[in-house]
Amino acid sequence: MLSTHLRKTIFISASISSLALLATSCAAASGGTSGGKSVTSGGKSVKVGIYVPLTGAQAPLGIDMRDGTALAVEQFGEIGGKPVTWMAADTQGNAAVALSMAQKMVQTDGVNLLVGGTNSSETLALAAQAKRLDVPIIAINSQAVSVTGASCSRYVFRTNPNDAMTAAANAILLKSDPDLANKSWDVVVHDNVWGRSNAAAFEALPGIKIDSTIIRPVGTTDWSTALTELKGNDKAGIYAALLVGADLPRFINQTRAFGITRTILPPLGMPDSMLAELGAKSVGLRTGGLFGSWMLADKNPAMKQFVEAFVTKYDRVPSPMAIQAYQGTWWALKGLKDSPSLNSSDVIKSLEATRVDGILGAFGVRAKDHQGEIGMYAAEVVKLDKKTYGATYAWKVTTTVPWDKLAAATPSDQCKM
Amino acid sequence: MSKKQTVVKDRAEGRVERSAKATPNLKRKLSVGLIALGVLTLAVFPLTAASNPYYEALFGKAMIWGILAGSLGFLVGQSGLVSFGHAAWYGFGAYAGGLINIYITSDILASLMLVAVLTTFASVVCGLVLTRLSGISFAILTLALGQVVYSAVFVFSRFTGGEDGLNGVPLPTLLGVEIGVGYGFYLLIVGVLVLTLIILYVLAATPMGSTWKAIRENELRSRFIGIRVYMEKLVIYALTSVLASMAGVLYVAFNGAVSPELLQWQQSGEVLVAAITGGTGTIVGPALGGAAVYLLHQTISASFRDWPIVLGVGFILVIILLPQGIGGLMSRRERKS
Amino acid sequence: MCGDDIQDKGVGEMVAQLLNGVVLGSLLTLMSLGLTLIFGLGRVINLAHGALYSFGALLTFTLAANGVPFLFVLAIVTLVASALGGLLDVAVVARIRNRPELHSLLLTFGMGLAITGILQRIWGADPRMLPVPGFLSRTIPIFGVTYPSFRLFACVLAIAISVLVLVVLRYSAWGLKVRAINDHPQMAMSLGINRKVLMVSVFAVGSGLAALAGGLSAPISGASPVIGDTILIQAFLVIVIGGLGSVRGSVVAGFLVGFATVLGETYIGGQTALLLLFVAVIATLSVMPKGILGEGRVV
Repeated sequence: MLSTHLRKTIFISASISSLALLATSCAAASGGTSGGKSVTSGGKSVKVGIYVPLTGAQAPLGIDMRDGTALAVEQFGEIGGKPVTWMAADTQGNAAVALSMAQKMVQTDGVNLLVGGTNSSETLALAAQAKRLDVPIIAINSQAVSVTGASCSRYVFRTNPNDAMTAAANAILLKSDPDLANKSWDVVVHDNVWGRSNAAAFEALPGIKIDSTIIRPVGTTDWSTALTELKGNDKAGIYAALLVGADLPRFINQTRAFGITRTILPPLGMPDSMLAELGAKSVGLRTGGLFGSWMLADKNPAMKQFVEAFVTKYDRVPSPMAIQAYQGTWWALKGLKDSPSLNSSDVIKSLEATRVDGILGAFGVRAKDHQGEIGMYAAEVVKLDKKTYGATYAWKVTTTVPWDKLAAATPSDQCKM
Repeated sequence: MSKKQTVVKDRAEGRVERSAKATPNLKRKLSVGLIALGVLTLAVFPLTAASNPYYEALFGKAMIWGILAGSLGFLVGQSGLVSFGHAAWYGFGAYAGGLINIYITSDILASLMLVAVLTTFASVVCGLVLTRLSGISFAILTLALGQVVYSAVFVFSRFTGGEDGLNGVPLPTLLGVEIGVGYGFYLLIVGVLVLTLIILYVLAATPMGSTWKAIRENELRSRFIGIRVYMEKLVIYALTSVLASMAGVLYVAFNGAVSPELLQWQQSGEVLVAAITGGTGTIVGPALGGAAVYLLHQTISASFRDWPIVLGVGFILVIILLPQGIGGLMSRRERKS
Repeated sequence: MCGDDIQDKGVGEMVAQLLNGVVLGSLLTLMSLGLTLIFGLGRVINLAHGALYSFGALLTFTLAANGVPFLFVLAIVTLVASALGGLLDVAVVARIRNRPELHSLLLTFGMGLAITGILQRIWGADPRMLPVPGFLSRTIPIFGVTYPSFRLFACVLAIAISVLVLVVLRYSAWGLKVRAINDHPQMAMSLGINRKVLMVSVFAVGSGLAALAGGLSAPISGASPVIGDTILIQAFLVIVIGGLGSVRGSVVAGFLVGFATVLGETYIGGQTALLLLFVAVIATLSVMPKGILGEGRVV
């Protein structure tokens, strides 16, 4: 008669052993072979692995990115006679999980391309192991300059604008817009690397007047103390470099609740889903660094086609992140198609040379550091006269800032591949 | 007298039942056999999975959790001190190890030793305050300490990286040779786990181990028979904190980075769940529990994101239905209260 | 004249921060009252309290989004949460009624996890924002500063409910029994007071208060399955510093922690303030285990 705790030990050991066996058999069944993915013959399809947060504070962004990429994959169709498919893994916003998911997708599921990177640390974690992963990594939202700067890698490509470009674009806005040029600013940022460097870049703009700098942790639920600390008068602006998933909308919500009607300038704009949540409170937001807006459909037939397809499939308008995801993925798939083989070296060479005419115009990457040569948009939130594609509030583009105006802000010399 | 009454009388007079006598030898043999099987499986498994780095990483981290939960299980099982802040020492070890690797040396043995010294010092200082109390008060104090350490990561974000975590930790080396985070490091983790369990087994069998058990059963009485309760509690607290920090050092070397989530009280809670479910009545139980909980967490999160429900409900069931399962120690305590 | 302006601004800021402190304090007190009652009666530190706060916030969001008038929403949420709390006690917590207190700590931790997970299943993980009810969406001038009227409303309501709870505890038969068990469990039970039944009602009341606190905060901070976790930690601070089981202590400590948090956020950084508060917890338990009013139970 075995004692209870011995019974428990046996139970636990048996559970672990069976889990281990289960895991192995799963691995064997799905065809994941020895280290690294098959090189040329590959599987029966060309697979794209998407690494984004599907849970957690950045989930709204990650979901938009996944949807944009998925649509691109589905519309692209096939490469070399094989269908293109996609799979998505939840990084939970965590770099270690992102790496682990990427490894799983490459080693067990045999993906040929990794796309994603809602935050830069995810992409950087993958970049550190790029040689081992041996697939191209397409960052479609990672903004830290180091991704194509000091931490660059021949495997890593970035299709979205980076922080330096955003700072330059916002500087251009402030200089050119008479309304904003003479304002003094309260700066509200997060207590992290992105927040602090953003504040520093903004405050270093020539001739800018700063009323105060207020720093709060990510995840702040109550902004009352920060709002009480604001020093600017009614004409001053608020520069709010906060995470766009939850913190920024919450901040805007509470600011307006305090009766503060001042202009708020988030450097990257905000996803459309958050505009909908904020409703009338979002009207009047300005930004110089929007990644794109679905309202560009008026001027660009390719964008219009994309927007309609997106709305039909997902029942919502595409946010700037979804737009970037679609356009970056489309370009990457073209590079894959033009490549003589799916071998990583061939694909990388092909990607360096590929140029497309996408929904945001002509696009390719800079060969030296793999930074996408992409422009940005100055925009303002407006309330639409009538509901369009289901949206009532949207970013109306006021100026397009093309790549050549931003290139100088992001020199390629930091990258030594 | 009926048979039942005879049995009760026998028990009361200290005559051990025959079936109970027969188990110890069989139990020991089975335990050793199972442990050996477990170690062998874990060590050899990655080879069979054809050096798949994903599985190496998965099982490597599972074993790190085994060390962590094993140390907590020892604390709870031997001395009855339930710590709700064990993740603080895990995180302390990870951050300290990471900083040492970045600024001083990436040698894994050196890091382990340096961090062991640091943690001994820190945990003794903290323990001086914490181990004065017991029971719920002690648990609350450990929770508070855990939160102090968590906040400290943000207050000193200049060194720890704060929100963004500590990144760029170099690959570990061993006596000058870069062993990276492949199979070699995996074996190192297995080695540390086995060594930890051996140390714990040995300690439990020493007079100090008996003292801890005495304190667990009745602190007041222990004091009266001359046991220096305060000192003994301090020793086991410091010891298990050091072991937790060792797990942290291995984690940060493996991961190349550490972020503040490691130090949250929910993490401490999860380790406690793992240790208790594994069975604090045994030495190896909590370690197995730690590995199992980690593996389940990864598997379930991957497929259907409902991990908190599984963990929560599972733990509720463990607490309600398996009181003896909680190492048997709790049920023994009950007889007194 | 310039000097006067700067002075006014400084004073204005001070007043506004004080108001922020009172608002936070009142909500914390509401949250902590429930925790204190549950602990005082059952010696249970309810780590699931935060999940109930989140539940309150999320249910408020859903009901408000469907057009239910706000005051009705609050009432419904409180009642539903109370029912849920009572149910949880009967179904789960009661199973380990006669076990050592540590079991309860662990059990409620598991409960909290499970409830948070279920909330995530139902409402998703994204934070939701709900509009402030129309009649309260304006700002009003008070003590020389412009302050959102909703925050004042939430504060006043929280204080009112807390006072109500205190009054009920002091003057009603139920309150008398609760206090009796709180002070002398053995004696009270030998006098015929049924601890088990009382515990259900206390758990219900406590859960209702937590959910109400969540509902009141929802238009301010939004609603999500994890929003209660931060508050739980703050409430935990309150009940320890106030003295475990001491109702008056938790009221005083609630406002103390509220002010400390607000002042901390403004002048030394929120994390530093939290760090100091937790050191205060350690100090309190080690040196003044009965809390600041000396009325707590030593565990």
